[in-house]
Amino acid sequence: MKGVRLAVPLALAAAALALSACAGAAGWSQESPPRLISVTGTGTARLDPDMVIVSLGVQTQGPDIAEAVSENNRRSDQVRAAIREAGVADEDVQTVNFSVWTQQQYDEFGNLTGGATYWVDNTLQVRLRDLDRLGPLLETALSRGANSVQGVTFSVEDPTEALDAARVSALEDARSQAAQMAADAGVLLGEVVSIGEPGAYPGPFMEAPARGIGGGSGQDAVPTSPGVLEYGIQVTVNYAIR
Amino acid sequence: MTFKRLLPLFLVVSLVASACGAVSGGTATRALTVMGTGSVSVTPDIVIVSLGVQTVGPDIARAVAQNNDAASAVQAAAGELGVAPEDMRTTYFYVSTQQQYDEFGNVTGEVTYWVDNTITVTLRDTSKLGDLLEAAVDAGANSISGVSFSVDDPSEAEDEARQEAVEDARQRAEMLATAAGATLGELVSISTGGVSGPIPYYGEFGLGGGGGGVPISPGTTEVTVQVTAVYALR
Repeated sequence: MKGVRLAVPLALAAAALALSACAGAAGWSQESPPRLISVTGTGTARLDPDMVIVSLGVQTQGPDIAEAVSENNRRSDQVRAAIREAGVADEDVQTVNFSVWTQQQYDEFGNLTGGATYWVDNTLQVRLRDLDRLGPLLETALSRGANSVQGVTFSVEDPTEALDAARVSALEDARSQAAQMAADAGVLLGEVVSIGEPGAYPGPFMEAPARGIGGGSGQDAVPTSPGVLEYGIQVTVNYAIR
Repeated sequence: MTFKRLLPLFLVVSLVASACGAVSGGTATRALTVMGTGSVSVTPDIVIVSLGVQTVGPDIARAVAQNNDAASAVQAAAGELGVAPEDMRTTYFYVSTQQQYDEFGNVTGEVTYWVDNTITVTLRDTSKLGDLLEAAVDAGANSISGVSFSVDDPSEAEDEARQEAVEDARQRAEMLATAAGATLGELVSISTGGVSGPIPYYGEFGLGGGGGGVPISPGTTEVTVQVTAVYALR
């Protein structure tokens, strides 16, 4: 009886010891070696925007729907002409909204008067590749009848090359972090076991206004600043420990 | 005595050790995971727009009849511009009742009725959109929304974008493997991370303007495919 009482804790202790040894060897999945250094390196690309996207809309309203639409058409034609004169290629312009909305009129008691106001909106989205022309384009469009401007968004048409360069520097960053950790821990850095990007395809995460554009284009221009777009890339690398 | 009592101990240890061996028995694979993207611009061949008629009045029968007349005229106008019946769908019809109030906030007993009939039209000749909008307004449409350019059958563009995405992933994998001082091995797995679009993008200019209708620019549509690829490292 005494012996049994002793044997049970002994067995448990042995099992725990065996399990912990086992965890050391098999805590990783089957495909990975047991000892790893895992680091995430960061690389950034700073790019000057080479295009800007802006929405130019014409809103008209009135008690006569046909008049509100034809007035809208007339002004939208002029805005379109202004966009063309700014050197924007035909394939860089798209109608993104055309809407008609009826607003009933109410008296002071909240009752319908029978009258109505019609709202008409025609909005174009423009991709401008000559950034110097943004200020003048906004000014001209507004003077020709645009009265709804949204979303001046600067961007880079093809950041692939710069992003790949950022990936390489993220790898370098990862390697130097791993080398430092290996040295600090008194082990030798082994071969690369895995490389992966944790996130999805990156977009510019920060816009830092850097220089002004448009102010110098004459007085009939809206001042605008494209700034610099910064893209961040993260690469996670696992190294073997030797 | 001692051996007998230690038997459970040995059993437990050997059991754990064998389980342990089963887990750690595999070989390690060194791997590289990348994402690739491909996009293809397509000129839209359809445009979808909602054309609605709203009528209001104290007499429900009259409000409905007026609405029916105008809604029929809008459908006829769309038909005249070549829209097939199967490309016109009633997406909204409602009648609602609004009580009238006096200056003290009390219900007067009079009622206003609201009637709305909206059809969603798929126009396959996008150059006629300006004319369609103009004709719809002339016919009595007073609630228009959702001019949305799209591609009827994007499968060909998707195939092209997928091929581009696979190639993009392979190039990125080679670049990263080289930068890491390794050699790219065989493809272990590849999967599509979803197809986005067709989404309205930038586009061609000025169709429909010549017809005297609403000025319209149809633009192009972007089809984007993303793939995730895992390559072995050597």
